[in-house]
Amino acid sequence: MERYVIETSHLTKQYGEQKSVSDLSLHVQRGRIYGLLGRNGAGKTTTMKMLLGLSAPSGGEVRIFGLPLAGNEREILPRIGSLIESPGFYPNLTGTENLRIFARLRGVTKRDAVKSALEVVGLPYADKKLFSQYSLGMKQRLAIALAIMHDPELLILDEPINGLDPIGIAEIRAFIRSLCEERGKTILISSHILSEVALLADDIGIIDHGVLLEEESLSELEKRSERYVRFAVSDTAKAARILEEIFSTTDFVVESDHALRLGDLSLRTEEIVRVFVENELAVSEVRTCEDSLEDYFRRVTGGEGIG
Amino acid sequence: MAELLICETLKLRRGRLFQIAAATAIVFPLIFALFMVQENDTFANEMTVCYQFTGYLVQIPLLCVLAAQLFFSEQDSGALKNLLVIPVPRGALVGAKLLLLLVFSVCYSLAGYAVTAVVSLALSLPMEEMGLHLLLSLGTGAPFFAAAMPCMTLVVWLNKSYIISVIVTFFYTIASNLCVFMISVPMQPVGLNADTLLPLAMIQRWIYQFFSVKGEESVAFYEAFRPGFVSTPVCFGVLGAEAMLCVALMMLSCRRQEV
Repeated sequence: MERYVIETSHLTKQYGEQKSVSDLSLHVQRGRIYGLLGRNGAGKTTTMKMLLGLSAPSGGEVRIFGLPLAGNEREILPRIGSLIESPGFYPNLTGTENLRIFARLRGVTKRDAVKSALEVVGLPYADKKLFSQYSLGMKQRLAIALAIMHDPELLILDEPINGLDPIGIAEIRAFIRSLCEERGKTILISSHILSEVALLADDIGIIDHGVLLEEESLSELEKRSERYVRFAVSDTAKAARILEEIFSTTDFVVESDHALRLGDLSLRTEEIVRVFVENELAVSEVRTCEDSLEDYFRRVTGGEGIG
Repeated sequence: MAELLICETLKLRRGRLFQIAAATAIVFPLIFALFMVQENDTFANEMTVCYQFTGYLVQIPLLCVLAAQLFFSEQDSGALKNLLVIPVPRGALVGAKLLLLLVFSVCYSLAGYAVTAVVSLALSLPMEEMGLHLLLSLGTGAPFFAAAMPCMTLVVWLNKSYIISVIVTFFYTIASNLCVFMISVPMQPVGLNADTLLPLAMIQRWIYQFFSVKGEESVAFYEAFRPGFVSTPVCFGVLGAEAMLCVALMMLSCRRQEV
């Protein structure tokens, strides 16, 4: 059995002069959750569309389940469940009616597939509410129900928690985790909510301006994440001079007028605080911190955070 | 394809436009039958009115507007991507929608026949040639559908809003009917000319031979038109070929569209 359920090789999508995805080589391992992180417009959705054959690549190759996607769509696509961009359903039909149409076209034979899918996402079965009357959260839940209804091996979910309330987010997160851990599904999710991806993903891919900058397992990232001590002081310029002249260290970063981050953990914090106070610096906070996923993202993309 | 056709039909549920379209299948034949009846008219005369007014002026443009609704519905709602990842081939989707419109067209023609028959019975008109006109009504559904195809192709190709589609349909209907009313006799023989290639002109050349005409002028025109009549295989053959070309263009257009 192939190790990578999804594998792209130098995948590129060009619109005129602009490359929205450039030379992207992605690897999604079987039975794991892969979080594709990127800002709005980074190329996440474009990538997912190419993985599903909705958009033809300008270059490169997509392989799913070990087969090239091109020419094997009939064999590959029925094994995938997906949610791309905004939920797309017929507004004049109810949620159940919508799912029944898609179930029919998919050839879903399981009798209560629609009912089970709706139960999982917390939507009523045989409700009279039309899709046009659904809230954003309900539409998103219905889209997730559509993706899981035919029990696919692979799920490709573009911002699946978009529009959900906190309880809904927790429920969907737990469900996605259970799909992977208990049923061995492979899941590719894209998001710009780093905290959610950190709770969910096994592997991370960071995409920026169409380029995959980094691809790593979350456990490896956690091992490599930087720890530091954060000081909130009355005068960071003075604090910086003290660290250089008295403690002979330059392993620090001035974050703002009143915040400083010390990377050299060999120094004793109580000693540093004592010297700061002796030099008439007020110290309001001393905290040992670890790089968050947002910090890592910022470092990799060399810019602002993901929001 | 059968599943696709069933699903296309299920999607029409609560669809206002289709409900209105279905209602016009009864309303317009009723209006034309009631208000255009003349002294000594027969059921056959009433059916002539039905073909020329309901068919040419209502059924054909209605098919174009319904086609716009069907072809734009998935794009507008965002459901197209959900169909394509099943996967439902775009060609099959186009085919199912066209098949649904063809079935609708045939049913529309039959409804016109039924309503005209009921009105004729109510007005105690002689019920002449009922069998012939039942067959004609069954048969005209396909030619009227084929006559609407060029406009449908234009609507799909342009891929613009519903308003633009309605405007295109309006001008297509006017132009087509002008061609019919400006038919000059004798007509050109079947070949690469307007009298053959314009769908409504070809339909007129076929269906007119079955019309019941009265009055000196109408009879004289009928006799002058007679050499231009075409047989059913010729009419259906030409219209069928044109429809196939339109289908190919529609499929090409749909394949071009990125999701």
